[in-house]
Amino acid sequence: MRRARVRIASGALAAALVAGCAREEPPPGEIAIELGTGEWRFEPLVDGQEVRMIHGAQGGWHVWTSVRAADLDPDRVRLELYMRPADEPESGWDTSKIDVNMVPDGDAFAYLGYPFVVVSPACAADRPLEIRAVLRDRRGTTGSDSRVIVPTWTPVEGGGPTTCD
Amino acid sequence: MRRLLLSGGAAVGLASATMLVATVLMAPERAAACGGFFCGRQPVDQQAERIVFAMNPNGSVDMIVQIAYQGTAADFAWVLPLGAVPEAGSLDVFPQRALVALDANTGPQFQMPDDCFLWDADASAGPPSAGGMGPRSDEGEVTVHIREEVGPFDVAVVESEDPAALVSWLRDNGFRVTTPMEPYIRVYTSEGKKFLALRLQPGEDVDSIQPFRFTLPGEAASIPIRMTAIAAEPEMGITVFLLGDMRYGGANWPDVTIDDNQIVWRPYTWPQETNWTALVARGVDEAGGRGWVTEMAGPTAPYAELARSTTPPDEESQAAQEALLPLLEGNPYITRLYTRLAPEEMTLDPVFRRTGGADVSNVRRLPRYVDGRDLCESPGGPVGGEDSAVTPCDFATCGAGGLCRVVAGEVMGGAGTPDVAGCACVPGTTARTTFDPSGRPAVSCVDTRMSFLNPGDREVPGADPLPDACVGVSCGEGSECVAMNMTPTCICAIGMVAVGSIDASGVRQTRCVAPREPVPVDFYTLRVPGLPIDLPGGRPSMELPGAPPPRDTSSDGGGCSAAGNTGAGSMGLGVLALAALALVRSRRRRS
Repeated sequence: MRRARVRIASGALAAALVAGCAREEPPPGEIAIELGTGEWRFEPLVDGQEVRMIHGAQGGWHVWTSVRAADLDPDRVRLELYMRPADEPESGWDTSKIDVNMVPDGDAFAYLGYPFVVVSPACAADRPLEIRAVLRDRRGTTGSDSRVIVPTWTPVEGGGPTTCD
Repeated sequence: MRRLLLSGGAAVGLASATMLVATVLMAPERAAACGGFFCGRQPVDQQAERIVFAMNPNGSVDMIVQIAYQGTAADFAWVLPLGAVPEAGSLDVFPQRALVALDANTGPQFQMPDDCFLWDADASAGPPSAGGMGPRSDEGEVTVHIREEVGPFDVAVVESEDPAALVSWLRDNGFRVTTPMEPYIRVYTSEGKKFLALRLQPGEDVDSIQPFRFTLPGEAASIPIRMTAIAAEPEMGITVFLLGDMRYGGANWPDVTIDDNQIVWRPYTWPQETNWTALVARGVDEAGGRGWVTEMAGPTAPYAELARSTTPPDEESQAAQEALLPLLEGNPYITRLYTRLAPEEMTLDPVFRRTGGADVSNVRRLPRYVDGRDLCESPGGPVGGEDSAVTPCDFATCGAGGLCRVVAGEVMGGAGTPDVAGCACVPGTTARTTFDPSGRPAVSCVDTRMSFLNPGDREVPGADPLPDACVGVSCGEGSECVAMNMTPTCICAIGMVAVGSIDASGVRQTRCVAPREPVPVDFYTLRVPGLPIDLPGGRPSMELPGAPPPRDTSSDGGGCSAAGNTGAGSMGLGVLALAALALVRSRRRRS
């Protein structure tokens, strides 16, 4: 079976890219948060929803990833992102841990538009991917949420392999 | 040469390039002083790299990059990693004056406090802003996507899975690639990047170098900043203009907000002198070493109207007008972002995204009081002069790992000499004289591991061993000269601080002197954090002789900070944990 190789790019605020720890299990969350998508505004996700992969001008593909939470201290929140093929869970999680500042978003706080890099878009396209987000604030309160998305794409000439080899 | 380039030859040196830009570009702007869009105000950061992104409706991005260079034409080479091959026919040059005009018109403008009346108050505030691809060919293991002449440049876009083959091809075709560049080429090659390479055509002079533009497929703009680290100055400014349908911001770098109430300014100065760029540098360091300050965001219409209605005073301005108007008229919104970074902070290529949000005015109201000081009542004269309410450290940026201390003027030049800023550097860093955003000499503490061209190394295979840049250089008693990428720098003795200056022949000097206020002993227990495993330094860290053992920072969550610092130049060291390979070519700007 093809294996979708996905990886999350390192991110904001003293980004702590944790390379080589791609097989750890996401910790459970204590409170509810919401994982969504959206470049500049929060867009809720439902399981099975198609999400368009974006081609960056400097190469690479990503999906915009956003999170929303109501009961967390919004300053310097640790955001942990996990991704794995939903139809091949034994392949394990790829992870990234970053510190972010969340911004007011209605009656909650949100972190918007994280470029969630998909290393092999041709392999990830049109198959289910499980994404999980874990937030931990400075008080130690944690929250988590996950969705299964189906990335879609339109290959770009010169934008990398168009087939999953 | 610097910035988004892999420089070739012996001619590269960021500071010298910077000075060239300041001389060539700014002097005519000042001289003109004719008002309108294409002449007048000068940018706040005259040294900053300028990059323009214009988002096209068809899902492509126009990228315009400034190229600054000082050296010989034969040594000029510029290499930029790209994610995709530029669109056919999109490669072109772009008028430098257009970039300067865009910078000057959208940059911060500072307004005096309402209750502060100076003889030149109105003038100081300034007027408010009006508000052909060739056929693809494979040459051995290198794919040549484009090879054509563009303006004064011989241009190639090449790709290979074999970095050695790529380097060989570039060298064989006259694009000079030095040995320290090869690790970066390996990294980007492993990511499947293409490389845009420029060199001057035979007969072309360095004066003909212009910004370069091209169009890339893709919706999300990004900067290959890691490559910039090769030739970046300490605390290098980067100004990014994003033209699109709405406000943009960083997607993977955080927003940094500057409190206008902390802007220190000097009365009786034109252009208005503030510590804005220093505040940005400190804010970015406090955010972890990377971040963007939104200096302005708003509709392009007022700028387009001003540019359209300005009668160009000369052919150069006319060319700038013709180049800028389509960008401004074709995109309803412009966002201006600014940052200042050290090379070791350039470890993650920034991506940009739409952010929405409100407009951001580039007009900032200066506070009358900062930290209890009445800036309005401060006398004129130089910073550090008698009775001045501001100190040199207000305007200084010693870099991550640096601590600013005021040095008495008499130490530097005798009675009547204004005080100056000096930098104490933590063990593992060394003081290097560079230029601040206004073009004046300044000191920054740089990581000693970030030197990749060291005495005895060979710049390119077969070249003569490099000489020791420290021969004949004295940093002062008890201090040590260390060659960093062929530039002499100073590791000052404990308790001493480094001061930068320019001698009569224009050569930068660094020397260690005693500050007015002691450097806390605790400061020397700090250390630069380890480098990432996959980004080793160019050599082992060079320790300060006699430094006390490092403080245990395990309880600090792995980071450390220059505790006890106050005032300007006091910055955390956590950012150094993100250190990357950095190479600053500087043979031609030996200090």
